[in-house]
Amino acid sequence: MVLGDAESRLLTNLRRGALEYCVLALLRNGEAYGLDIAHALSADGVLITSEGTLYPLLARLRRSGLVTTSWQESTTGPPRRYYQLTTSGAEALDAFERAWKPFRDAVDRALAAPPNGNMR
Amino acid sequence: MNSTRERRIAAVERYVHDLAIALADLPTDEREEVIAGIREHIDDALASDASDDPGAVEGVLASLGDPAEIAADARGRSRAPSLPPPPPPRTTTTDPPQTNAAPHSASDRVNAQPRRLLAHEWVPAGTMMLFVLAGALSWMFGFTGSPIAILMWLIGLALLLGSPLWRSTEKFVATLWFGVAPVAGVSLLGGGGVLYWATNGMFDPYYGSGSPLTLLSLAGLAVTIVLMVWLVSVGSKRVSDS
Repeated sequence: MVLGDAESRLLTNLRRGALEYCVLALLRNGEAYGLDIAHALSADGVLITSEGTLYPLLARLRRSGLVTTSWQESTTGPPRRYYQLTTSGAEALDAFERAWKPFRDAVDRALAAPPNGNMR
Repeated sequence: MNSTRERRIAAVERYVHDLAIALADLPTDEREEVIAGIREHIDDALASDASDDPGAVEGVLASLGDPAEIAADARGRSRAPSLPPPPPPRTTTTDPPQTNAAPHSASDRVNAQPRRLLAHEWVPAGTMMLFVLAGALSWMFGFTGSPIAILMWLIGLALLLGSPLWRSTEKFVATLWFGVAPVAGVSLLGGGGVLYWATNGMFDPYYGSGSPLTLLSLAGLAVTIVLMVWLVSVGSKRVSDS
């Protein structure tokens, strides 16, 4: 995706608000390793462009109590850290979804409105 | 020793070092948490790559992205959190104990300060200035005849080695020329003879123009200038990262 400077800045601000909830949503289906979260989010190049930016985010999520981490022993290598959603995290995600859907629909409607549409 | 493995380790350590500098103004525990997460990411990514492909590390580091960008993102999050404030302390994590909930504690400030001082923008030019002054003094009074020159030289070396603005390779080269060479008899400006030559006009009456000693001094002075310019430029560039 090639963006001009203005679009890049816009996208940065949009990302900052929504990205945390995308991470929480990924964990809704079960625990995940950092690497897997990074790959999932960077797949389409829209949500994150550099995978490293995930880690400050995960640190903040953990400090806010929305996510917790644990270690899984592995027979083939060193223990790996994985991330899990907490109850607060699930609640925060639900709240975001309740706010996001109407917001997204409203923006889509506004963008799709014909010129001089029914503003009355 | 498998040299591909060594190269991998060196590349990773370089990246993590740059990242640590970029994150220098974060609270210590937060910075260490981010770095730990990224180290684990790298280990995971390389562990699942069984080949000895030397490009594998570059690939992983490239997708992780520029440390400066990661740090900018981290700082942006610190300034404008969109998450609720942290809840009262809970149990049930197996993480290293988090000693306080406040983002900045007095001990964080104390730990971050010496690092920031040595990463200040005056450090690269100031260090080279100290070497220049020490060199000039030692030319006038002889190296062992001027304690101030020795003091300046030592402070310059301390700044050089202690500052996070230079990488190990750069510090090594700089220490060889500005630390070891002077002790071995090469003056700090790469040949005090050249100053003698300069103050006596074009032709040095003792050595004669074109004598190997004068040429060596000129060459030494050139090396000193090149090294200083290089060290100041790479060091100063990193100031904005920290």
